Amino acid sequence: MAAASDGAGQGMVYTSQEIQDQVRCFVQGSTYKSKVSCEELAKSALFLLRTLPSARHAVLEHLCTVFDESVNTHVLQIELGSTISSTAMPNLDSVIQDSSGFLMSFIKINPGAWAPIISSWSINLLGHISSKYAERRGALHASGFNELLQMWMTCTATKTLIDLASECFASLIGSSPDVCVDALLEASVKYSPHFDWVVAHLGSCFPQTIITRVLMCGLKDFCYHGSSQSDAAISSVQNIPKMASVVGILGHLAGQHGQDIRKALLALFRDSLRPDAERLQQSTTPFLLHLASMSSMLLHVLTTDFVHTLTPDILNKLAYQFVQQKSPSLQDSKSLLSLVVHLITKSGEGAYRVIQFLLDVTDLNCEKELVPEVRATCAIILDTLVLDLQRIVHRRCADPSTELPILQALQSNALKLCTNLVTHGDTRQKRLTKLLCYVAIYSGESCASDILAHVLIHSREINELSAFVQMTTELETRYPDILPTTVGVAINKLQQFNMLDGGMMLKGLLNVVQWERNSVHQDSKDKISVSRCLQDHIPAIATQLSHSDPITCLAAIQLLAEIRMHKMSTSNVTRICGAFVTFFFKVLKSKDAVYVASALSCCREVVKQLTRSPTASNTLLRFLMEGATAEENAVLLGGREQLSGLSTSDINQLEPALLNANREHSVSLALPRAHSSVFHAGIIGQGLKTRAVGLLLTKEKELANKQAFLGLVWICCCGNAQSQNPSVLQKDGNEPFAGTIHNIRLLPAALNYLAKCLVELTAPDVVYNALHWPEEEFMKVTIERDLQIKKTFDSNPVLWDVMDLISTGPSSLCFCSCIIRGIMATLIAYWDSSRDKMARNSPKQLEASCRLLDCMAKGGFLPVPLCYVGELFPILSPFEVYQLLLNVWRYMKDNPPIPDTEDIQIARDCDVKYTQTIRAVLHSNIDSQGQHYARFFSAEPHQPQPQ
Amino acid sequence: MDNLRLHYLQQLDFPECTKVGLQHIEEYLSQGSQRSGGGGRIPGLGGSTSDNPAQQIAQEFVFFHTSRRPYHQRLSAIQELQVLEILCNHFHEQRDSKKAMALFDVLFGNAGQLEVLCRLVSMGVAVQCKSLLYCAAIWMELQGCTSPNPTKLCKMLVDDYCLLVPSATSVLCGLPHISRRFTCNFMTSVTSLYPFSGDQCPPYALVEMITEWINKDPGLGLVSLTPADKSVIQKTQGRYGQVAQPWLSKVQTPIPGLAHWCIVAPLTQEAIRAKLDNRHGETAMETEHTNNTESKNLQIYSKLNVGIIQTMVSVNPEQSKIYLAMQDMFLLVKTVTGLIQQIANPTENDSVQTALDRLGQFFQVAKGTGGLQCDKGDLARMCQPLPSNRFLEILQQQTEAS
Repeated sequence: MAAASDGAGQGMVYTSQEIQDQVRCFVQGSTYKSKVSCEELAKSALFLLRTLPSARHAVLEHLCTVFDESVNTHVLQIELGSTISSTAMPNLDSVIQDSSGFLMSFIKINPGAWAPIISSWSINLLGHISSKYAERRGALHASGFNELLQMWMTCTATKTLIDLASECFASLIGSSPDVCVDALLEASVKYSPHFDWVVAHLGSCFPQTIITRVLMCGLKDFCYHGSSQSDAAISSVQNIPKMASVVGILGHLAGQHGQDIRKALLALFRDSLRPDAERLQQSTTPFLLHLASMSSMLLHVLTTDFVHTLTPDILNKLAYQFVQQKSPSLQDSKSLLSLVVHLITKSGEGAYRVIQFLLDVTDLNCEKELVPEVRATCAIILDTLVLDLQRIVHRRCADPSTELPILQALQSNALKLCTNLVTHGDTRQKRLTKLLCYVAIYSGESCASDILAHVLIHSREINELSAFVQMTTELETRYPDILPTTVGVAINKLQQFNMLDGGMMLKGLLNVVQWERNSVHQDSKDKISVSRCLQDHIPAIATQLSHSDPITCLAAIQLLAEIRMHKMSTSNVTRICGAFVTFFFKVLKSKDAVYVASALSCCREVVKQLTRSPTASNTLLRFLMEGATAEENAVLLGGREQLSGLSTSDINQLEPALLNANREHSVSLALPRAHSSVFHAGIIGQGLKTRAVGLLLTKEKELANKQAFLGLVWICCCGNAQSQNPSVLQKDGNEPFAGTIHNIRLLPAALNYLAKCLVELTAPDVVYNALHWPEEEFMKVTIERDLQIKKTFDSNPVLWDVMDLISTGPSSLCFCSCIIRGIMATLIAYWDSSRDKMARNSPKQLEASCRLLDCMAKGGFLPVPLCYVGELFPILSPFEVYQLLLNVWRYMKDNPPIPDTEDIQIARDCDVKYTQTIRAVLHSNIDSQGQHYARFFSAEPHQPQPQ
Repeated sequence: MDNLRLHYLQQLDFPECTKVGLQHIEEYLSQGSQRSGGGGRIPGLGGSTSDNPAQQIAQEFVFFHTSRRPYHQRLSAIQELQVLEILCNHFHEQRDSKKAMALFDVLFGNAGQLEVLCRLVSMGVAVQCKSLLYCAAIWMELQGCTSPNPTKLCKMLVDDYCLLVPSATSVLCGLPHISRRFTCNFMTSVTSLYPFSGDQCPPYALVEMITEWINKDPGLGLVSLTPADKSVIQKTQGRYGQVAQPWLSKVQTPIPGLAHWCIVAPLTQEAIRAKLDNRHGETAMETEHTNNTESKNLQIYSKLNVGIIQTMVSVNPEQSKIYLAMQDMFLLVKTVTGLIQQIANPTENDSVQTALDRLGQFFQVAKGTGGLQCDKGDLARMCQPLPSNRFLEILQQQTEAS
């Protein structure tokens, strides 16, 4: 007709008759008035779509039934298995393909006009279909969100529909996103929750728009429902219909668009804080909290990202917002708080940050301008949290399967929290302590002991100590053996740590031990205390004595002084003694008087502890003696002889570096400790190691050192007798020789041992070590040996003092007989050959002679007149001295020293033949020495000697 | 009698009842005309519409707006299509335009079923239902072509045939062959639908189509000046009362609207171009695209301008004095001035000059053919706010000289 000729240029044009026919055919077919084949019907439908615009509603409606039928077939197939195949509706798929192709082309040609129509149509149809088939068995199988999505995406019809919808979205999203999103959300509310998969799928195609809109929609809904049922508790959240959908959608999108969700949530939150926020936006925060309570993913976002944004400024704003909000009822705010607490207990990865944040806010010391209400609220939250955790943790004992994400998360950050506890001190201590306790209880004994050890090691102040004690008490209810484990962990750490931390850790331990000593708990013997636990770790602590850092060493010795030592294995004793002695001499080298004083007093304590076992006291004595005679230490105790042998350039080189270096090894490595453990003989390329010598000391310092040394030796010799009488111990703590010495019985055994030690160290061989004194002539045989002994004494003057000490024992000096003999032989030889006028012209020899005779007298070797001859020496000539000494020798030859007889003095009587020489000497000097005569020869010469 | 009829209809099933219902309405109307011819009823006082059985049947069996049949409360889209088909067929078969108009009036007279009407007309265009479109044209005239309801109808047609289904545009192209009167009224409505305010231009396809119509048939724009058959309108006089009485004073033609398009189009083009220039970073392709559409638009509007002038020239002198009022001219000038103000340096601008030239031509032809009644001062007043234009100046001089 005319129309056909007019529009010939525009492609196929149909006559009105054709159109009418098709309309009739379509109407007939779609209303089932007459049998029209499926393809026929589809053809006419598509024809009408192209030619008769006003029929599009009808066509789309018809397509609805087509899609519906296709879905039905699909669901049936799922339900019955694929056996029925697609015989029932063979061509539905091709119809769907065709029509979707048409619609797609429409959208492409004119998106502005078609996209709104098709998007709303497809979305509504999707909603209808998904809610209609939701109850079907096939759909019920897909319980989860993703399975549901999977199921619908495999269905041709729904997949086509959703493709159409997303095509519409894609074309509209740039110009007018609201149109399509609103339609989507409307449908989502109408068909919720069956419709969620559509929103989720479209959301993943257009994440930003959808996420933002979905959140807004949820917020609106929350606001509406929240205000209408404000008196209901948290449970009411579940009643808000859209929340579940929102959470479901976001949860689905989280996997791929987590970042977008994050951004959207943050933006929502930020918008709510703008000063011009509407009432709707003001309830954003509760809304977000409720959202988080329904989805762990959102909670994660909240705890990890939001905490960063909560600056004081924002917190203040939030507080203001809550005050503004028409004064929420008490119950409401309460439920909100409990929700917050609940969320925190559920929070995982971000838990540490959240806790940190809360602590920061509640900490009054942090100079942030916070409204007091904020602080108070945070404090309430924290307290409630702690209470809740306590409840849950203890209930968990009965049912260990309960998961507590917050504690799980804090477990990995426990040590950071501990550090927090230590560094921030008082303000947040209480809560942190509790929190840590629960973390410890939750995560098992090993972790608990780690935490405790950390606190223990790092506690410096007394209040930190209190945290430790509190935690211990709390944890012991759950893990009775926690304390030994903790101490073990702490000690283990001691050996791993670098140089500086060691001192601090020991200090921490020391604090605890001192506190324990002072507290009442010490009385209850059953209680496991740290110091008792430390008893097992004494060797480890002792190794720290070799530490290069004096502070660490001091802490270690202080700690050792505090610990009661019980029986130990010999190897341990050896290690401890070795370390201790090394340390002792190191202290003596130190110039810091305060340090030396405190260290020495601790040393004494330690020795007292050690000497409770005889083995230890012997070992200690031996090591002390060895140490004293060692070259590097001799100078400390007055030895000077060897200086002459050194070149002056070496004097400044203070320490034998390699030996020291070797000793350092023992701090961290559990190598067998021995004095001889030298690894290197020198540094390659520098030849043999140069000899070094200590500093030149003042007389006073020398004296003090000697005193300290002898003090220790003396304590060793006191043995158990000392420790049983603490009052004496304390009185003479500083001056062991100040007259009290004779009031205390030194242990003969110890003195004997000491004597034997002395012999061993001074006598070069054992051939002539017999107690008996030989003929005078025999002196010539042993001359070299005697000189060596004398030289040792000269280079180590402290040995004289040791011998002095030995002589106080009843018969201990007997063991030194060979030494005395050697020295005397040397002296006799000297005086024999001396051609000086007066003996005092050789002061060294004179002094030696006097001291020797003094010792022999004290030791009970000599009877009355003989024991005084030393007093005469200074005024005599060398020959007279020679005569007198020879006289003494003869006496000794005839009356050899006999050990282990109590009545040695009584037996020793002076025969006249020995006094004749004295008498002669006195006679020849009667002009000057007349007044002494009576002392040597009293009226009754046979009276027993007063002791 | 009436109740009996209703009862009978209620017994019938869906498509049947509509078909029969329509017959009954016609029957009733013919009876009614006889009755009123017999002086039974005073026109316009026939009681309220709800009492009217024809109305009742229409509501219940055509539109299914009734409480009596709950299951039919809303028709599905397919059923609606069915109804439309029935209506179309019915009008198609009705050769008597008087009867058709009466039926149309009963169905859509009170504009309650505008949506159905729109779809029906849209379908009528596709299936070339002449009588239906004639009725619709009369209805538009009675409503006033530029009033909301007819405008809505036209918008629907434009959407359907120009935007949604471009392949069906050719159907609309054949509109003059179906009903010249409807075409004319359609153009009038459409010009008011797209007043060129802002960026809203009429779809290119639409402009192209109208240009083609006008150029092929210059008289098309003047169809509405020919009064419709009195007897056709007579039936509806009661409803439209006063409005319908002074027939010729109310009549509208597409000429002022189309002239408006032609004059304003170059200015709008200019504004769009300025906006695009401001927005930098445009790809070469886009620029090319806009240039293409621009030249296409320029062409089509000059063609349209020629068409309008031809139409005006072909005006029958008897009809001439009514199609344009000086008021329209002033309104047009006001729009033009507003647009020109947005353009920098208007006297130098080609587009402005084109627009002013067309304005002058339009004025001259309108005045020359007697379509515009004006005195000497009017032109001066009209040109006063406009930038200088050679043609307008000549026109003014001529007017003063005469």
